[in-house]
Amino acid sequence: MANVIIADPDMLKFDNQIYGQEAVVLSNLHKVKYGENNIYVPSSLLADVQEKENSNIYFELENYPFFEKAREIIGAQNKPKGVFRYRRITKTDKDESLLVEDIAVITALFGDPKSAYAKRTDNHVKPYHVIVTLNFGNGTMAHVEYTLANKNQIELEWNGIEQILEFNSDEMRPLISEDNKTTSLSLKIQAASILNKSYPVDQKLLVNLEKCRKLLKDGVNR
Amino acid sequence: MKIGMMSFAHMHAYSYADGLKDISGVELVGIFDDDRARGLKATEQYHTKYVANQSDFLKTEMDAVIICSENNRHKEMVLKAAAAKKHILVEKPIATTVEDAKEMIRACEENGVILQVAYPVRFNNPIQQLKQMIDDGELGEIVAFRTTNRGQNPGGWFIDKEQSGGGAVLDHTVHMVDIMRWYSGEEVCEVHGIVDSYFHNIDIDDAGILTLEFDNGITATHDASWSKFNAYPTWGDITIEVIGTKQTVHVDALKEHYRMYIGGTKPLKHVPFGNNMDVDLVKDFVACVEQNKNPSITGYDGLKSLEVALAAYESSEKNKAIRL
Repeated sequence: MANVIIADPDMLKFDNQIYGQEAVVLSNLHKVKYGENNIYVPSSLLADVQEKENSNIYFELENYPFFEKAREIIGAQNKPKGVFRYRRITKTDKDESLLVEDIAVITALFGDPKSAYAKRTDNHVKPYHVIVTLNFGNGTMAHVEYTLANKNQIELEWNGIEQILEFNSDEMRPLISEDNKTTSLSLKIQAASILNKSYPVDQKLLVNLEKCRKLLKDGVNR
Repeated sequence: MKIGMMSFAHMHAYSYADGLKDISGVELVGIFDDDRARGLKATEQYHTKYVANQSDFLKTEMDAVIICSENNRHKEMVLKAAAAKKHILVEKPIATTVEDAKEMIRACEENGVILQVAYPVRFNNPIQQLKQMIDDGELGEIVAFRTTNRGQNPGGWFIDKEQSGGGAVLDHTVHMVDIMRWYSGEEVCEVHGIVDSYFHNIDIDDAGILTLEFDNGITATHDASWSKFNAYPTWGDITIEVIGTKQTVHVDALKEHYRMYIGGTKPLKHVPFGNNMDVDLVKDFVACVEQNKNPSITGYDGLKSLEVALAAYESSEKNKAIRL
């Protein structure tokens, strides 16, 4: 079976030939022939997947090299203590699905929060902005912010004990063009990473995403 | 104009005294400090006289005082200075309780003296530039703020709750709440906070994150901590991002700096070249006194930002958002 990755071509690094595993990249899920392929779909399109079998979901954040490195450094500590700040600005999204998957990735790193508190601006006013406050207990707290606006940008900060990480995709640009419209290489994903870090569409995945969506809607107070 | 200084307990006293030196026609006429050794040292540094007794000091012929004591002594000093008819610049936070702040404001009003709260961030040029952009309508309506104020653990009386009234959250929240109020002209109506202590093994908070809502629906985040440590290239940060309907603007108040790489234990250091906001704050205070005008930052401004910081502690303790 062939591997078919559904992705915006602009967000992928230039490596269709991946370690011998050939993958086809399509920008539109509707072109996929189910049953003949292993399909890799961003979680934002989960609702549009017609056949769950052989379908896999990937989370953008988890596939960015900068996040993998942060996870490696923060995760190296037994009980990481600190303040985690994460901010995503996105041009397009549907029903906060990118925020939901970001929460899924962040809670996979720090565990289930003891408390969560979400605050939203008026969604009729642009830009739309969401603030999520997470208390993981044991000395870890986080602010996750999400803005629907006219650019793509991610900022991540970890203020740990004698350890500070700072990342801003607008600053970490190896390539700077005059109009600054080139997508930051920091926000590009390798297709190989998607093949390696995807999850089959099963009950476990669906339950986890629903838990994150509920957290954003109702908060958590344990 | 004659100005006296009451206590050098807060390190800002030194930069304010430096600022006074730069203003023509202003004389630092004396220093009062309970800590005799510290007072005498400051007196020597600034070539003025030391007065050991507060009452005697306030009998000195002078127009105004700058108070840089421990936070819990602001009230006592402000009340006495006001009674002695001295105009007052008091270090932030204005007080450690809302009730004390109100009493201080009332005393200054009754005695007809200026009470200005020391929020130097208002005088930082990039912060002022953004204020101008907002006032000119370049950002449209404000939707949200994102702010940080993080520094190093100052130690000493700052980590003694009795004297400071609170740790990093009190120390590093009031500045940015003041800026958000100044930018928006709105008051905070809801505060959610998580306040904790884990960077320094101390008995007072050294980290907190706040989520705020303003009366008109603006939302905001604030990150206050003493999370920076000696290896960090600068003492800390002051940042604000204003998300507007027309555009979003981010300001790093300390961005005007060189990155200097040197040998030794701190190989990267930020060397600032932006305006000195402490000095500009003092110049503004002197101008207010000279011209007998309302202070640019009032006691009420100090009170409102204090309310937010204290509500963050309450929110964290009760694990719920607090309505103001």
